[in-house]
Amino acid sequence: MPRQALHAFMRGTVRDVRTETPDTFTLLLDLKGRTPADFMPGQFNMLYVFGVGEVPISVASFRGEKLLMHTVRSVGTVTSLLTRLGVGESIGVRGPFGRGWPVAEAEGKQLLVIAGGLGLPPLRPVIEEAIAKPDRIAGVKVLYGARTPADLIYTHEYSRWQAADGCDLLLTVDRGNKDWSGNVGVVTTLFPMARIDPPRAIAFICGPELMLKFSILELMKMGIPAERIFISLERNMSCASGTCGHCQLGPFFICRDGPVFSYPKVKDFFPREGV
Amino acid sequence: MIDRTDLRDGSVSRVRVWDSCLSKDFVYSAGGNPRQTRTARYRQFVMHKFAYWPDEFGVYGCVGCGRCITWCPVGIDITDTLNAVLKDSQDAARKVEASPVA
Repeated sequence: MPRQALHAFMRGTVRDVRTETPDTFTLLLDLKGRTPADFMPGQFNMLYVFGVGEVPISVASFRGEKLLMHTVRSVGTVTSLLTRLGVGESIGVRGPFGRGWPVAEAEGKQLLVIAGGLGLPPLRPVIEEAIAKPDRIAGVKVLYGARTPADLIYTHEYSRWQAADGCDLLLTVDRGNKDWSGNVGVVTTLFPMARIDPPRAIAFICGPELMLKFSILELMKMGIPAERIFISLERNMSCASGTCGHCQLGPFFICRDGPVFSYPKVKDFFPREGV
Repeated sequence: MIDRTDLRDGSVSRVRVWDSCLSKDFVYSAGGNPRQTRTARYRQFVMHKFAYWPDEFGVYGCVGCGRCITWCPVGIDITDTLNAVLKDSQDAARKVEASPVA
């Protein structure tokens, strides 16, 4: 991206809003002249609510789609306003920023897509990519965990993912309810059920830091080499251009050098208290 | 850089504010605050100036002006920190030299 374009935002007009959970919403944005194909899986955009502020949000759309997709949970000032936007309203969008998932490296391998909570949106385009070329990726296992059944997002996509050639979707929740007949437990409890093939598996993981930590441990115990584990990290990205330092993790700027890292690249700094 | 909204007349001003990696909420985000302790924040300050910055740009991220020493509200002298690190590494190196070759 040219340097001068880093801080200029485009106008994104809301075309549709989908309710994922009571506090999580998916915005479908029309960016004049730009399409989801301009945004790589795993990259993020800075979304700006006019007069309020900016937040970094993952790109959830797939290159084959028409509208840019962002899934936002109402947590702070900016995100609570983002989730209250109506169709026809506009926000500022700058991006795409950062390095995304190394999708090309998954070719010919068994792709493990491991997500926790709101870690699913940046992985959604990866799942769609894998489904779009089943002959190039040797099977995709989507292992997704949320706190409760009501916290699962993109539920309307599950049957399509499940039915896709070579795609398996396994769900788990931390706490079930009377209508939940699926697995209860953290996402790593899905690993033994997923028929993982360690010698040819590659893992893309996004979720809370603890979940990343234990997923990495379990995968390495199964014999998946560290070089084939990729994680997406979360920090307080503010300038998104590797300048301000709010998102620094040791020597890395998550906004510029990440948010997706190969595990060996960051292992001296993640997971590590206070870095 | 922050936007300040005035609820009375709907006007917004964009203002520049002081910001520092030593402030408590510098890295705060939805997941919590990764640098909870003063120690962690000070380590980042020192490491960024004297380790990460040289790696990225080939020069120190400190011009040696002494302002942080003069104005530190709790009297931290960054040269003491660096001398302590230096001494530790020299002591460690001496220990390696002194130990018989296995």
